[in-house]
Amino acid sequence: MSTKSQIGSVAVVCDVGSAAAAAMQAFLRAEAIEDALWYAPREVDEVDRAVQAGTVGRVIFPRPADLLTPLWNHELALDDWWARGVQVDFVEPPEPAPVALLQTVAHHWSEWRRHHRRRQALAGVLLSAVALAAAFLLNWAAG
Amino acid sequence: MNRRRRSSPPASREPSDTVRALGLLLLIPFALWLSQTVLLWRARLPWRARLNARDLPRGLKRINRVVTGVVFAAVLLAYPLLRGLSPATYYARFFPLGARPRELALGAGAAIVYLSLLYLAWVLSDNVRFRVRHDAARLVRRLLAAPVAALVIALTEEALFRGILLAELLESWDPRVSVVVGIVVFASAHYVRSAKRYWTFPGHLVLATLFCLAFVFTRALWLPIGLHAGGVLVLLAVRPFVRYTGPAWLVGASIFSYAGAAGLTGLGLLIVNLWLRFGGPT
Repeated sequence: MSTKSQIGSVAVVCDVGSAAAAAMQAFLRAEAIEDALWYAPREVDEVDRAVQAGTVGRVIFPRPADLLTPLWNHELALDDWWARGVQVDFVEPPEPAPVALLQTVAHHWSEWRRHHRRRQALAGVLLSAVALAAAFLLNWAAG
Repeated sequence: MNRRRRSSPPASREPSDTVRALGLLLLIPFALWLSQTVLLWRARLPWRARLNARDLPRGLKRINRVVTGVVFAAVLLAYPLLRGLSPATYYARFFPLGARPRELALGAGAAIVYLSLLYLAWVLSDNVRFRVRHDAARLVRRLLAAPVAALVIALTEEALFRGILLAELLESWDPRVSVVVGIVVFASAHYVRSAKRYWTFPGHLVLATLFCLAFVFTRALWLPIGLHAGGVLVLLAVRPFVRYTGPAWLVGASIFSYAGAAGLTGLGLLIVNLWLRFGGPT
C-alpha cells in the first residue's frame, strides 16, 4: 500500500506518549529515517496540508485504522496523496491479500459508522433542541 | 396576546351540508382513480386498485397532473354552488380584511424560522448535507417553481380541508370531534396514493393538528395558508440540495423533515406559539 516517492520530508502520525510510539521509533530506525516530523492523530489535517503543499512526501501511521479514521472524517484527501505519489506506510501493515485488506476496511468502516452515528445523533438532538428553543422564542417575541 | 374575532356565520346551511362536504371529498380519490385507469389503459398498462401512476409515460403523467388539478378545482367550486352560494361569497368569509392578512406572513415566517433553524442545526451536527444534485437549468426551474407550488398546494389543501371540511364539521358537530375528524382525514388523505413510506403518518397527524388549530383559533384561512405555504416553500427549496445522513427517527427523510422527533417537537412548539399568540379558540 505505497507508491514510491521521496519528495519532501517524512511525517509520522502517532502520539509521542502512546503505546504505539515505541514500535514507531523501531520502525523509523529500521528504515534509517532520522528526521521524521511527528504529528499527533488530532493534527492529521496539518499533515494533509503539508502533503498538499508538497513539503511531505512520505507518511507513516501505526495501523491502517489510524489512516482510515481521518479518511472517513474528511480530514485528509487520500486521492490527492496518491496523485502526488505520496508514500504511505504502516508499522503494523494489514494482511497483503486483497480480501483481508477489504475486511480490514469494511470492519473499520462499520466501527467508525457506529461511533459516528452515536455522536451524530447526540449532536443532532442537542442542536435541534437549541434550534427549537430559538425558534420558539423568536416566534414568541414576534407575537 | 391578540384575540381574533370569529368571522360571521355562513349565510345559509342545511343538515345535509356535512354529508355533501364528506361526499365531495370522497369523490376526489374516485375521480383520480378513474382518470388513472383511463390513462393506464391508454399506455397499455394493467389497471390497479391503488392510486399509483408512477410508471405512466411522461406525457400521460402530465395529463394525470392536470386532471388532478381540475378535480380539486371542481370540488372547491362545486361545494359552495351546492350550498346555493357563489364560490366568491363562500370563501370570502375565510379571508377577512383589515389587519388579518398579516396572519399569512406571520404563519409563513413562523414555519420558515422553525425549519431553517432545524436544518441549520442538522447541518452543524452532520445530520444533513447540502450539495447541488441537479444540473443548473433543472435547479433554477425547481427553485423558481418552489414559491408558486408552495402557494398553490397551501391554497388548495387549506381551502379543501379547512375551508370546506373543518368549517362544515365545526358548524355541525362538537368542536373537539370536528378537529379530530379534520386531523385524521387530512393525514389519511396523504396516503390515498401509494406512498413510499408510512412511518411519516404521525408527522402528518401533528401537522394536521397545527393547521386545524390555526383555523379554529382564527376562523380564517390566512394563518393556516401561511403556515402551510411557508413549510412547503422551505421543503421544496432545500429538496434539490439536501441529503439526509442522520437517523430518520430524528431528522425525518426527503420532504418529511417534520416527521422525525425534532420536527414533531417543532410542530408541538409551534402549536404552543399559536396558542399564546391567538389565545386559543375564540
